[in-house]
Amino acid sequence: MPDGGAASREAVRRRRIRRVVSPLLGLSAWHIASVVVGRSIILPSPRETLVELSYIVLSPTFGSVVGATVVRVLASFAISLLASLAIGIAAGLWPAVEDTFHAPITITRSVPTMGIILLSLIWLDSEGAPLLVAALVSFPIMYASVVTAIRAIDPLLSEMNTVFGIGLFRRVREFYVPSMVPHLRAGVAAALGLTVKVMIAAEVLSQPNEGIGTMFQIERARLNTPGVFAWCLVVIVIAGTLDLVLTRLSGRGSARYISARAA
Amino acid sequence: MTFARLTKRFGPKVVFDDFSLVVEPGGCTVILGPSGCGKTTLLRIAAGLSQPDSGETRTFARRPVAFLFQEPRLLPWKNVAANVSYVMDHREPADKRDTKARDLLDRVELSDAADLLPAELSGGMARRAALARALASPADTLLLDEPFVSIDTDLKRRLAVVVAAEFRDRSQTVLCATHDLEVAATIADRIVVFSPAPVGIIADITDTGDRAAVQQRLEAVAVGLPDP
Repeated sequence: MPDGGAASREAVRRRRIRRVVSPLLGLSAWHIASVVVGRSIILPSPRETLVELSYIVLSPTFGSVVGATVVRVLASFAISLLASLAIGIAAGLWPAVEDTFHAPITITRSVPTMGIILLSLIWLDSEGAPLLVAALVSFPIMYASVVTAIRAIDPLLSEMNTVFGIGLFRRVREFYVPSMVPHLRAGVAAALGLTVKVMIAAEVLSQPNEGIGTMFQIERARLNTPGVFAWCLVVIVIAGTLDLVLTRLSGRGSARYISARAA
Repeated sequence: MTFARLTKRFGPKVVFDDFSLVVEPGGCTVILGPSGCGKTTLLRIAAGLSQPDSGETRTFARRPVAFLFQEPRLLPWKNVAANVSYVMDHREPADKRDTKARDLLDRVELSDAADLLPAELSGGMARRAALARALASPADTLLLDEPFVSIDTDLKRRLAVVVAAEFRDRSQTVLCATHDLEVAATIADRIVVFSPAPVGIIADITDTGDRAAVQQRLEAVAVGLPDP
């Protein structure tokens, strides 16, 4: 019978195998389905998609197209994050602020994304509309996370900071931020993923000069389905990379704390 | 530190009713009394964390104080040494603060745990870490609430001597609440014995150097020191 360490290593090995086998099975299923359908305009094969992807990646405009969307995603995410921090911290501390923002937050959360996109297109130009749309859609998620994180701050530790006279700057950096980050992480990651998806949808409709959404629309107009699939792969890589960066940033130095807390 | 004609209630329970106490600077005053008699409440008033319903308090509430709470209250994401140096004057270089923190941890016999996180400590170790943090503060007032609770007897005796030497060396004003008579006899310059709430002072002993005399005074108010 294996000891605890060997069993743990075996579990990790099996997990790695499953993580490699799973996408291979998915690719196989995709390939079989494309052969069965037999029309690349309906369902291109993985090979056709990869060929199209190589054309896209090697095209001279690829960097600027991806860069334009990523910049919009980050700008929109930053607007939403700053607004949710400002309002969420106040709402977490003072119930009167939470009550005041209850109705606007509920409305923002309930209005269909397409409604927000169409209104933004009426109010703003094609460059500004995707920014507003993605910020408005991700804001309620991050706001709820910030309120939860504020309420999770340990009042006894807060009192300790007051008694020992810890200065405001150090209290924010070494107490409030580490207290809030574990509670913010899930909400912020979900909001970032949603921002990417909504941004592309808004770009598809608003057609800015450069953007992945615009490229989706062009490929659709050309009936180039492998191109649409290839751009989907690009978006998956971008979303995965942003998520990885966020995880690294928020997880720096706290992994041991979290595992110790769970033990 | 002056508490004059204090009144404090928690719902129907009257903790202080026209209570007065003057704590002289630069000494260690130990408040002895049964659980729930108002010792912690008095420390919280002294720290400015709680306000009396009426009466006058002239305390160091507007200035930082060092406070050993009943709970360790360590920051869970910082290791023990970082928790101790957290309350130090940050105008000092980080390496100097770290050295001082590790020195204090050595004095409370916790040097092996300097790099552990609070979640990795036992209750007694967390207590000692919090004690080291209280001693690390540059504040000139030290408030100790049951300082050696959950620490075993032999270690408690050694730590009481170390802590007393530390605050006497720095001429800190110490107000300590405990129901441990042995701790009181070891660290105090003055012992004030509280009655159950509403608080009254049933003994005020200033000559604490003579253990037998202290014992005699405490016996006179129906409280006894345990055998050493």
